[in-house]
Amino acid sequence: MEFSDKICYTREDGVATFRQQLADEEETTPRALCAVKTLIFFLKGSKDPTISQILESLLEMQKLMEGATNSISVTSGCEIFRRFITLVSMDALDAEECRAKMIHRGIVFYKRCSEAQNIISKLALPFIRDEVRILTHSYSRVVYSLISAATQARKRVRVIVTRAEKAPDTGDDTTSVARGEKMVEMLKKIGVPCALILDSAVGYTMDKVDLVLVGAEGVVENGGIINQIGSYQVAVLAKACNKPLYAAVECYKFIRMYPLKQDDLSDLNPSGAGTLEKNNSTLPVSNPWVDYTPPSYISLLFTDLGILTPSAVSDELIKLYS
Amino acid sequence: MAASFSVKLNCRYYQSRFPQLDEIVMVNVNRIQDMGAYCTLLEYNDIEGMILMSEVSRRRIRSLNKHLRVGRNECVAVIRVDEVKGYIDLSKKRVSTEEAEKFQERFIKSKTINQILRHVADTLKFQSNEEFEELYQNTAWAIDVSKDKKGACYDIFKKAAIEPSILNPLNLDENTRDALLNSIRRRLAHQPVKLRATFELNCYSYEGIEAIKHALRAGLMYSTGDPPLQINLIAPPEYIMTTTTLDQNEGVAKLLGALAVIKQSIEEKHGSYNILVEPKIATELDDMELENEMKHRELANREVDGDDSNSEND
Repeated sequence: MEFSDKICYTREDGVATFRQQLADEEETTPRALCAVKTLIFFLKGSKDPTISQILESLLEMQKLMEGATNSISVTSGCEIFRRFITLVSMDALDAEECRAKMIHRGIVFYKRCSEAQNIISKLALPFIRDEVRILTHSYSRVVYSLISAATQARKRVRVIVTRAEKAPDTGDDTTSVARGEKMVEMLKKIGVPCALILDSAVGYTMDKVDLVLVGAEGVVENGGIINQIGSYQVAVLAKACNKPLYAAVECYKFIRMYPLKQDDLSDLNPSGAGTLEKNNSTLPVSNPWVDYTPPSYISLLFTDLGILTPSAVSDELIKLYS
Repeated sequence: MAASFSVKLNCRYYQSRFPQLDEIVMVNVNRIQDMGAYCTLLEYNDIEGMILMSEVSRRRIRSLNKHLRVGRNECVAVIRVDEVKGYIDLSKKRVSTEEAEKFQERFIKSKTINQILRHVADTLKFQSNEEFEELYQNTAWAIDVSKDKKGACYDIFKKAAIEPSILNPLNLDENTRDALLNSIRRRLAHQPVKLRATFELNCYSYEGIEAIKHALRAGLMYSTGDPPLQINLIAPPEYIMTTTTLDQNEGVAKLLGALAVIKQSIEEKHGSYNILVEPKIATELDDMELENEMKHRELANREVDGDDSNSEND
């Protein structure tokens, strides 16, 4: 999709475009990048004569999109995007000129981010040996592209995928199919031998795999990851069985956040998300969408900035945000 | 009644609601965020503006704290204004140090005007900002507009302290006029300044100390007006002559006259006169230095028994 064809003049327009993109490009584009693209369209349409106002409306736009998806990667992507475009030296006094510069830089940012998956595949390839057995949790575009890169490199990979069932009535765009099923479907298409297991069978299966590979919604400051519910228990089991756990993640998912326990994510899990009403729970415990995996359970992070240990993340994160 | 005192009157310093492009303004830094620093424009009724991070410094920023700190006042340039929605982009890197210093002066003047007018508003028991603004409109802004320069009314007010008729073109009603004049006199009255000259007197002829005494008396007699001249001894042969005055030029002339008389008188008796420091304004710092100097000289001049220093060394 080129950037010349679309301009958003109002916030409603922006949100509509964002939703449209989510629906159209679900297969190809991560949500964070859809959000960044929307911000660029919005930036194009903005007629504000001052930079401070432009920044403010971008922030409002970001908030709206966060509300629309409840995805932490949208937050981190927009946040880094806004920083990236404002740090350009704007010597021109004319707001129009500055805006053009910001748009240009925004597109540079977008292009760089959309290359991220390929870079990760290239960097992480040596970690995928021939005849390796991989356990992966749920569906992740990065994990998928890494595995497909490995098969293209004539490595025989076998993948076990957890079904990763989400709590119902989340109102999310992908509730219809469990995300793990989608992963299996896609892997089958490229001819990777794969199997689907129940989330509760992870412990039983752990002996039969060589490594665990997961994606992430966000990477937090201490190197831990935020990912779809169930990742934490997979990580704990992997650690218990001495299997390495790798997280493949793009750098625009680095977020300035420092959760210490699962409860700290309650902002990301909308209140009462997916309580299993039909079970008639008598305790007010919800089934959240995401959980937090502490850095001690993660062996390495495969990012487009390089292969990082969790402790190296904070350094990179500070670089990204300054 | 108590409620009326709780009203805090506020008004911008200049007629325009928003600063112009390229104008330098004084801001107070409110909060610093990733994208930039939010500030309030002190002269424009505390409206908000933002310094973008890329506008903080031309060079690489090692530590932001060296450039901006919350709560501090900064001189910044206005680079973009949106008057409709009230957004203002500011830049710190476009203001040179010289410009900032020059601007400080204007800011202090405008601030003084604001204080004067606020005092007037208080005395006239204004209840609303509208009344205060009207006062501003009738006085400061009217002058600014006629002179076509922001902050021009400071000089006018200063003149008005001596010559009230200068305010006549403003057509103020009597109450306001009196209150304004009172307030101006309180704030802008001339401060008396202290003038000082230092000189040396010597006389080794027969009359000696008598000649010096005579010369100094003649000097004192030169002016009997108020405030009087004063001559003090620092340590022989140095003397200082001081006077306080409202008008600097007049005071200097007075000191120079007295010094001329002293010179003439001492030279008649074949003594010598030498000026060390020409008459000039003495600040508090000078006073302190002088005091130290006198103490020092006093120690140096004290008579010491010839034996004392030797006995300690033995």
